[in-house]
Amino acid sequence: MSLAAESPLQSSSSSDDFAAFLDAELDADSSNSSPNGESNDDEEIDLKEERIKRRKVEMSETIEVIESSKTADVNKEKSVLSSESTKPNLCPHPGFIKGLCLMCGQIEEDDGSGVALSYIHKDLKLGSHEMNRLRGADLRNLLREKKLILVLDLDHTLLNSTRLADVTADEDHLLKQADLLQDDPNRSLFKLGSMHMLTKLRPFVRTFLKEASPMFEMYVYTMAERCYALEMARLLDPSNIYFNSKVISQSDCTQRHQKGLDVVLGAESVVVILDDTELVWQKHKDNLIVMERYHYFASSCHQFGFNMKSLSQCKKDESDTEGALANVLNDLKHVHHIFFDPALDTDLSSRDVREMLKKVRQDVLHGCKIAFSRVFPSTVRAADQHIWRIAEQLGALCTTDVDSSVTHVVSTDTGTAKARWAVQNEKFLVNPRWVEAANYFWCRQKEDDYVV
Amino acid sequence: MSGEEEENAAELKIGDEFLKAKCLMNCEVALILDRRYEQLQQMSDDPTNQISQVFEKSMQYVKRFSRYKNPDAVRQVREILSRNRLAEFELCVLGNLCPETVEEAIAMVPSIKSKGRALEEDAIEKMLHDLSLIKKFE
Amino acid sequence: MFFHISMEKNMQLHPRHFGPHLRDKLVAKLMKDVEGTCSGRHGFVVAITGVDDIGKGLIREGTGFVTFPVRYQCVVFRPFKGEILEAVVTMVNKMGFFAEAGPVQIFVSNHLIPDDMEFQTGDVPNYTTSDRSVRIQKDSEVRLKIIGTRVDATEIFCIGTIKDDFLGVINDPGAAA
Repeated sequence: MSLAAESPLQSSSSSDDFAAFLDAELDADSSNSSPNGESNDDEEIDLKEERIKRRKVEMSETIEVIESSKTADVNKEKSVLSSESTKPNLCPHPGFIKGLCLMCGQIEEDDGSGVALSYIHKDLKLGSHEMNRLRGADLRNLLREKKLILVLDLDHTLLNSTRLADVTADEDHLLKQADLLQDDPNRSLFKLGSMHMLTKLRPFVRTFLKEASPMFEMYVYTMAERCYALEMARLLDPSNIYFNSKVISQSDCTQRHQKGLDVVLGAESVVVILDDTELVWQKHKDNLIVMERYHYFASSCHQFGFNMKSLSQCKKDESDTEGALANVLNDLKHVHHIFFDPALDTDLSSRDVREMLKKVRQDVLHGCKIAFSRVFPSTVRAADQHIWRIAEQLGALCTTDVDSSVTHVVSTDTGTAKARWAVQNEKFLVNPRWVEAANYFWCRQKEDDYVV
Repeated sequence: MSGEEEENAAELKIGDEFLKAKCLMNCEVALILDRRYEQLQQMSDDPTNQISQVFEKSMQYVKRFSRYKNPDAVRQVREILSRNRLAEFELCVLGNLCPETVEEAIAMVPSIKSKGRALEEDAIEKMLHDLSLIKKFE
Repeated sequence: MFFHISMEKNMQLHPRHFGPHLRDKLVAKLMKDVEGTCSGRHGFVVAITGVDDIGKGLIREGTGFVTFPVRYQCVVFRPFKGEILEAVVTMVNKMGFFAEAGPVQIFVSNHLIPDDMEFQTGDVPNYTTSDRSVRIQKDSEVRLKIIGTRVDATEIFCIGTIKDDFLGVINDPGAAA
């Protein structure tokens, strides 16, 4: 109010001048145009006068209109709707944006069906038929471009964040460092004042995204809130070339505490997921590569119950070239390669990346025959044991008895009969962590590093 | 107002109020908004503070989609179009889109060939030709 | 379409603003209050171009405010169903593309993009014909037809189509590169 009064806007005379300018500028040549296009020359003069009269009438109408415009609009919309409903409408209404049908432009009442895809547009809803159609079209497109879909978790997978309030005394140097690096385009540490956050990108993440992007269409999928997710996406992808309207966050999930591919406009058969939390992907375990958690900050370690010093406290970080992201990038390249292997005689569209993932995992311990010794009680069914199943998924043959074909004995104790047999027969004797590590890294580990 | 009838600009059903109102071509709006912006500049150091986002977006839009830039040309365009007894709305759609052929003009403004309108194709052709000359000599 | 129309509004002003510059104050307040607003009937009020008349003030009892009926001229922008206009593409995705005509947002679903144009992912998502001659991407200029509009208090949203004769790309920002 006071602003308006003090602002040095036009004086009354200048606005009058301006109106005059407009009339001169615009009215001069157009007054003989008539809306009805009558052709009589004599009539044109009449029309010109009528036009002026009409304006006056119009004005008194306008007052009324302004005051009641809101209710008038509602009524108008209603009347349009009711007149529409009497006509047969053949549009299948595949989806709606702001309540308007995508296909015919009609305003329709929301019948509650359809999936909201607010990460694409805040008022977008698609029916299941349309979702499937788009997935089909997307699949043809992707396969033509030799691409798969990669769904990426944020926290602990691509980065680690801590609240500023949780930064410990021995991490204080990071705050200064973040301030100093502010203008460095390659920095990986960000102080986000407005969010009260300190964020560290995982080593190798930029190279990872750059190299994955020609092979995969990438989504961010996080349980965090939308504003945080968008901010993180911006840090990872400042020019918005990887995640263009593909940042899915908490409010997009259709099921509480679960992530689902139901809101992803891509076929499940081409989706690979990277996430540190297996639990949230109950329905899509076969698409998932579980990532080793990236705990950079002390608060993150603490939150997960680790009492050791964090990477930040030790002033260390994950290896750039041999860290988790570098490792998984190799796996992804491999999966991509075998999916599009021209030597395969199956049709591209019938291929399933989940099968490929299974296959790649089975190559990890291919050729190994593992005998377990005192890793689990002899009274339980061996084939039900977690480590047994993992070893099998990694392609190893498992057994409880030793014979000459056995390559590895897994035990926690050098004194067991089987352990001694292994030493005598120059077989590998390894700790169970050898199997677990192979499972994490999708790579057979050096046996020497896992001696019993 | 004919609020009952469904809106369809292709049949000139845009409501009585707008049918009778003065329409503006993008190039005309550009002149108006430019002038207004200049006035603000004279009175304020930072006119961007004074204008709404709607103003700013409209100004960018009309500048981008003005086929004619100088005021004389803009006036001539309206004059040429006005010779053909077009409705204001039709006139401005043609002035904005500058169709090149009669067929295109009719596709842009189907109402000019609707029943009872006697606009000959020759007349449309002439009009388009005259418009293209203005563009050429602008 | 842009229109130049007359409208009227009752402006309330506190007597402390009265004085030799009363008219200026009213006009300044009018511009601040009205420009940039949106209504279902008139669309967006882009700019006030002149004030025709300021009527006699009426004192509102109890508040001390005075109400003046102000008649003014303004430029409004309102899209109509069936209207063909040009717009700038702001975002392209596999569902279609968003475009802007001034303050108005328009969505063109891929149902309403010609069948021979296919979506291409990549750094610059786009729709391209199979012969690669026509491409729609961010910043392309397109000619489209409005088939549905929705107005709320602050914005106008439209559904558009380019699946018809003489519609589609009029300028390809990628072509020059």
